[in-house]
Amino acid sequence: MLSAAKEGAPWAFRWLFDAYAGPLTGFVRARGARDPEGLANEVFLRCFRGIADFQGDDSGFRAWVFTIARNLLVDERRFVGRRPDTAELDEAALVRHAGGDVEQEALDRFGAEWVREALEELSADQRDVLLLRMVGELKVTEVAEILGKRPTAVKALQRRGLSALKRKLQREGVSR
Amino acid sequence: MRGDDVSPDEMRIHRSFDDHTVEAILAGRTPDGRDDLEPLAALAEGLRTAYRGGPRPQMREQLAGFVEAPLTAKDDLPVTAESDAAAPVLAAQTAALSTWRDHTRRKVATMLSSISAFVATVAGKAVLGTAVAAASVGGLHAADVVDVPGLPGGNGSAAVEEHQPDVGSQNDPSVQNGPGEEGREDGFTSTVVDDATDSESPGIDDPSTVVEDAPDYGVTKAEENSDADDSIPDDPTSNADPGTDASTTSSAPEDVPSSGEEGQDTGEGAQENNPGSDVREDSTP
Repeated sequence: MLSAAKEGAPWAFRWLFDAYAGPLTGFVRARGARDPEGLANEVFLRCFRGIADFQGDDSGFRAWVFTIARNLLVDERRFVGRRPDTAELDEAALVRHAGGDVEQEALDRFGAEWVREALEELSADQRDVLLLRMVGELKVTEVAEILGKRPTAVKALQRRGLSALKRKLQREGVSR
Repeated sequence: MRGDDVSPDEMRIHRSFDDHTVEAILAGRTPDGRDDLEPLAALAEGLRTAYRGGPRPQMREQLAGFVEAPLTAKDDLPVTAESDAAAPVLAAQTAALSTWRDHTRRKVATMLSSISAFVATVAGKAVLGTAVAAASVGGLHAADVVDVPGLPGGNGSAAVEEHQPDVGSQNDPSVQNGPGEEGREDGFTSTVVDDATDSESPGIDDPSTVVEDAPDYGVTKAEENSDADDSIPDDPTSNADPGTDASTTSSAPEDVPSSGEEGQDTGEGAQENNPGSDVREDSTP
């Protein structure tokens, strides 16, 4: 697929966009992008313009796409002058996709505001790791490449992040 | 992992969230036998669903235009298989050009490395220094700062030309009786001319004069040489008492350093007994 995209095949561009635009848009939305879809379009435009010089496989391409997205997010925050860590959640979707009594209880009790606060209690690295893993659906090695860290460091960050979220759930009484 | 390597809190977290547990939670699944983590797994699934929910992202105008007519980052059309139809011929030409460039670069690099290696040696430095010095002298000569006679141009040739009239004037009869010669009272030039134009033996001096002068000179030189030979002591022990032998004292080289009173005496004796003058007096007929 990448080789076809390197040769400028339109169908290959469309396939790549359809495969990665969802996770990418979700990630930049979770990271507080003002226009997640517009930013995702800008990311893919830059990727497709430079794809002829790209060296790597599909996993490397995913990491490359999210690396460009993070850089654009940093530029956007510098331009805006403020730093919202998380964007507004689609609360209806959050409730709609939650399943089971526990999830429903947690989401109904705390809602989108609770989730946003929980994410903001995490460190920036923990938040990036968890969002890239959960929303971006990336592997540990891909996250490590994006953040410029070793895979062991990424694993430690995601353990601490989940532990912090668990403690917040326990404090709020959302446990079985 | 030992207890003293990490903090107890870290150990507890590590035991609570091993790799399999973490992967299950991140995937939105409750790990087997970990019902206490069910709210956390539900939260992860809710996050994923919430942030990835909503309408599907669409290509906007700029990206869609690029996908239909892709341009590179430099706004050039990308090379495709169709546009690269003449690739074999071009590839051959490009390969030949690359080979030629590589060959030329290798030759230049080899030449430069050889010169550098030669200059790095002592002989190379000497040759380089000599060449620089020669070039400097040549340049100074060309700039008329230094006069090098052997080189063309500059003041060297002018200097030779200035001296040539003097050389020619020695053979010019009109110059013989110049202003400097007119003041002479001994009539040196006239005597020479008379001798040289002697009708009986033109160009040859009186044999008696030659005979009288020549033996004197020859004997004098011979005696000097014999004295010089005698000045070398046969017995090395004779140096222990310099000045006792008259011949040794009189023929001691002047550059021999004098030591004490004996040396002082030796020097005086050398002045009084001038070997040249003595021999000359003895050998004069």
